[in-house]
Amino acid sequence: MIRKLAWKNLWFKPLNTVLSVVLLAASVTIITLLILLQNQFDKKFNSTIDGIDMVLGAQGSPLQVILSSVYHIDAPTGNINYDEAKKWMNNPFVAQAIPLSFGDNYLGYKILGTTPDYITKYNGVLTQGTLFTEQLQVVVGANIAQNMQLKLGDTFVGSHGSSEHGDLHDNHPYTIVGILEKNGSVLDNLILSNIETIWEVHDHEHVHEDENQAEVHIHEDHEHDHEHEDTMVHDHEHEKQITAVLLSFKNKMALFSWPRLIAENTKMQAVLPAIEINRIINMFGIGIESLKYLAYGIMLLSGISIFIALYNRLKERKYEFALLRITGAKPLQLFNLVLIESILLCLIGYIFGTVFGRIALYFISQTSEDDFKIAFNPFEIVWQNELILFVITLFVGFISALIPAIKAYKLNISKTLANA
Amino acid sequence: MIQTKDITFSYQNNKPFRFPDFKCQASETLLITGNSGTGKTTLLHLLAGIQTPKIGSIQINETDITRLKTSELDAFRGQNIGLILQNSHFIEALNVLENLEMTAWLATGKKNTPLALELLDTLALSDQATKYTSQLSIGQQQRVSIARALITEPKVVLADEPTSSLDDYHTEIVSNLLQSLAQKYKTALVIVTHDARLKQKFNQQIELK
Repeated sequence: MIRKLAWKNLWFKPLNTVLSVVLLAASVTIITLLILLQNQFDKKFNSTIDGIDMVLGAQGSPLQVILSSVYHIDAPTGNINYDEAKKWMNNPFVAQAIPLSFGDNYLGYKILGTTPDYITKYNGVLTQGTLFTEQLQVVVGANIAQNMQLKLGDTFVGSHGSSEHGDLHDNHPYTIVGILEKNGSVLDNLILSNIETIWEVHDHEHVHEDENQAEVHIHEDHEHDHEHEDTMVHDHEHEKQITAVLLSFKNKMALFSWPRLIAENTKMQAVLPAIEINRIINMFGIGIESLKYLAYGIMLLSGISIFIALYNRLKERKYEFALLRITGAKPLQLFNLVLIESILLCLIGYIFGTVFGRIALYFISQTSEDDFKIAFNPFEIVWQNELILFVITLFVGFISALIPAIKAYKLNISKTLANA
Repeated sequence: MIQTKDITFSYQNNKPFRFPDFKCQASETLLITGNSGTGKTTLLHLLAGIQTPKIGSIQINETDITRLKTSELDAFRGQNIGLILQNSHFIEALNVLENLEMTAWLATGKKNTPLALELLDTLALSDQATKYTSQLSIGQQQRVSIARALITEPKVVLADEPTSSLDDYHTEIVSNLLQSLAQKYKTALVIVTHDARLKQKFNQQIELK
């Protein structure tokens, strides 16, 4: 009955109630959203670098090397010499080395030349077809297959570089030999081939260009020109280029010694993804932290709003409370009444907040999936943090109700009735 | 049955009130009259156990309520004393019927809906049961507070100026109702009033001076 009365009291002054609930729900929404975003963001970023101790890439921004070669959300810093990289890949310290070569894209989806190890590393499972074995065979990620309605045996032409509108490599259509199961990793949004495919597509482009050039040249120069072409092709054969190498080590000592060794002795750089990701998470962290403070500020405001509402109502309801007392209500029951009203408010605010937070995440996820190929799961529950938020919300309710509740508890019935 | 003996009360340093002894049996009505400042409301608060006298005893049935602790008094009051106050105040968020049920629940732990409906019927309030009390006229409100005083089936009903805000017509109705209900539910009825209209209607009277 006390709970029922508390509930009815809330809706007797709906505007007060709605104001408090809206404020609370707003703060809980923001905090829930941040909790989920941060958690999934951290998880996504950290799970992607699982098992990658070091990345070899071209010199430039180390963060860019990681973003491009591990997360596929930036352009590569440049290419590295495959032979040079191989010396390091075959070092006995290395447990696994996966070469990556970025070439083209298909309607914005990156085509990545690598080894089947890459698929195994991200626990990719084929739903249909087989892995690539020959040149120009590709395995496509689940999202791409779904969005582009691709099936086994389909062929398509990539466009050069990472821009959707680059030159088309019409002469080298790719054939789909396998489709991967969706597993939430970077594989979902990649088209994978072997490294030779990337070389093939690009070398031949060059050769074609050279041949075209050759045709323009006059006959006498042909011999010379041919030599030139030969050396070009020769160069390509021996100076194979790749974009990056993902390394994991048997001997972690390499983590400390290699970055300097590689920087001093080669044109490459060795980047530790864990450090770069820490940097990026810290950078986002500042934003998330300040948003959190903002949200807790709103929560404080809603606490004050609840306090003022209850306090004012208490003045209006003094006589009502005295009446409850003379009809047999114990002081503790009045205390509880005020407290329950406040906590009910907070409960409602919390429920709305967690639901709205997830709805917001759903929309954010749709945008981020379109723009950055990062999807968030709005139905995930981060038990620990959300439980803490729940306790904080209830605590706000408790604190804001405390003074009014004590006043209700200590109400002087006789005085109140006499002054009515 | 309610009986008082030698009750004296004073607000801090003011001149103490000394109240005459009286007794009111079940089904009887006792009128306590007096001008303003003679301590009528104070006496009513003493009888209801809202305040405690300096000395003296107040016996309701077998219990001397001056000896009860605050928490015991709260429970005792809820179960044995019905109060009708000068101005009718209600729990504004609840409708008429819920107000009665709430009172019954606080006193006995049961809503006692059948009795609530019966009382509303007796007081010609059946069709107001689901209205908020603020939607009722003053006369209707006064009748609801009578119903509320009786819902716990108390041994004693204490009424503080129950007719002061009513016109002659409604005063007549309310005083008749009080009397007949006191008889019907076998309660002792103590009315504190300065209303001359009531003095003509009740035989048992005490005047405070």
